[in-house]
Amino acid sequence: MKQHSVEILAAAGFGILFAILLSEAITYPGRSAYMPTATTIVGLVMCGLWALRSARLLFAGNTDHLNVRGAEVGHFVLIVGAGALYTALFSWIGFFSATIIMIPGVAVTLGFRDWKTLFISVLGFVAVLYLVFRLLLSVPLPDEAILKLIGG
Amino acid sequence: MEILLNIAGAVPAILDPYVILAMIVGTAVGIAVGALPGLSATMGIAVLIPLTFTMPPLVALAMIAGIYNGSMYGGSIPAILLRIPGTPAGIATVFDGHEMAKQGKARLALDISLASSSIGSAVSAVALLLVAPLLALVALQFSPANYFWLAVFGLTAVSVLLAGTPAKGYLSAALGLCIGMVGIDGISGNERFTFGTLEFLSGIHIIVLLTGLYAIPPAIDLLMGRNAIETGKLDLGESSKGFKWSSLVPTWIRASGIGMVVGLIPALGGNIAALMAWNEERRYSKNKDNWGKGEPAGLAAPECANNADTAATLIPALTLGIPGNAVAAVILGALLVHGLRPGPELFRDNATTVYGFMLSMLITAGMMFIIGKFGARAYVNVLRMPAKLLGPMILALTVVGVYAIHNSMFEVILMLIFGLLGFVMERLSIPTAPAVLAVILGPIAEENLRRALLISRDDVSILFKGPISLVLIGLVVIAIATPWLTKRKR
Repeated sequence: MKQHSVEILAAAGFGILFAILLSEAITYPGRSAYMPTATTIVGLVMCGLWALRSARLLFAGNTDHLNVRGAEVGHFVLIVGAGALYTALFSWIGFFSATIIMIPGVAVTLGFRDWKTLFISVLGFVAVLYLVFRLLLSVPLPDEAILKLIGG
Repeated sequence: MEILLNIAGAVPAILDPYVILAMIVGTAVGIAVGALPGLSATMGIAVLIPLTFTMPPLVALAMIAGIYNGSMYGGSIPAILLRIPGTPAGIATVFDGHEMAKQGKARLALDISLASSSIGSAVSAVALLLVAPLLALVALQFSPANYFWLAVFGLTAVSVLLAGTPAKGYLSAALGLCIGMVGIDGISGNERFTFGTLEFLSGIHIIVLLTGLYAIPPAIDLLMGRNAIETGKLDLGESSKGFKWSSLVPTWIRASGIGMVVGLIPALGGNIAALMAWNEERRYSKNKDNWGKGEPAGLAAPECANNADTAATLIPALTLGIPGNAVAAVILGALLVHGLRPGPELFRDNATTVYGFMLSMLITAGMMFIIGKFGARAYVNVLRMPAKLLGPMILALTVVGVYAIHNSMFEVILMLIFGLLGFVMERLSIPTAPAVLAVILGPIAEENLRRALLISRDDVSILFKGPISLVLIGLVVIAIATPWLTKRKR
């Protein structure tokens, strides 16, 4: 994947974001509009300069490639998916239950096979989190599905 | 005299058992964070801040001081043993530190690094204690126009100096300014960039942004195996008995000075301080040929300088509210979380807390020596921590930490979105520090600009009056012109 092609796309993406923000900023009344308008204009101009620079390098024959391997893209998608699922599980079955599932799930999916270390680390880590967040800081976390099942 | 009285006044607070415990835990955790390649002081503090939310301010800040100091030393452990700097500031440590380890002097190298780091941190903390209150007194004389230009200068310098391409630095800053404006405008009461979302009305909490930008990308990197290391057999070798420590005193003096000066300059960091100190020390050395081949002074200089940079970085941050780099911005975020607004008034209104924090920078420098000395073997084992377990653990910590702030899942999701944004920005070589600095400096700049215009009844010329404003405008122009000047020089 050519780096400068990706950069042009990214600059366009950021440019669209700043254009949306600018269209919003100019509607603010009085002095409230000064800073948002100025900032979004600067952002838009910078996106333009960035895209121009990348286009110039691309047409000049610069063939730099993004340092991304195929397997990394797969891992990245997996990590983002795991993060989204973990956030959902956090609300549905509780933080500690979700953590007990997420850590081994992610580690094993990514190829970790030291079961003894995995078991001890996860239990130790969750125990420390329980001690800090439940007992020490008394953070009101969502109800725990596993604890409920065993009558906790 | 007043400074000394304030320092003495903070001593009882710093001797509170909880504060002492926080310093010990912070230092121990900081060394471990620094020792793990891919994790930095910024990331360690960003993960910790939400956890300190319910703690008294001084307990939280003492822990942060420990992490900051500890991680700077911790970065030298993999640099010496594995030739992999744990933090960017450990780059120059590799040159002579790893060579010493290869010669079977790993234990001596770790001891030199530890002693040099502790001395650098201690000298820097003393400078912070003595210089910051004086600078705060000067800053009290600043007008709103001066503050506006100061914020603009901080933002411009960091945007230009941290980015390979200035446009990317400014783009990051513009993004941060927009994020900082989300919510209700404090002066007019108008909603800005909320898009009708109720959760945005109170703005985006700085910790949500900090945790997302600084904790999630390293976690993703760990999971993707980008910072995977092969430890193999780690042998510490012979002890440091018989080493002539007094030979390093001149090195420590020079390196501390370099570290402190670099720390005061926005956008420069421990890595620059360390490289400069290593280079300068080589110029003074009688045996230049031994440099890069295991010269003890070549290890002492960068380690002393990168730790001398730590507290010095906080001088402009605490007194003017202008963070010079990402870690200072994160620490300012921690102050804001605890209701402490950085700036000259901080020294007047919260003297015990701010002096206590500065004292904790000094005390943790000593604690770092003791913990590092007795825990050397344990920290070497930290290097064996599997990245595939560490990554999800960081994710779990950040999620629960951010949730604990307002018990809000919306903020957790927002933090993860910022994490992805930070990861993408890193891949595209867009620095994240200007965005974070802009979130902090944007409101300062806007508030003071509007205050100045209100005083002058919309007469813009007020911004260009007075020597302080003119000097700051000059500095802004220099910062903007730096990339072109450097290009022409080349």
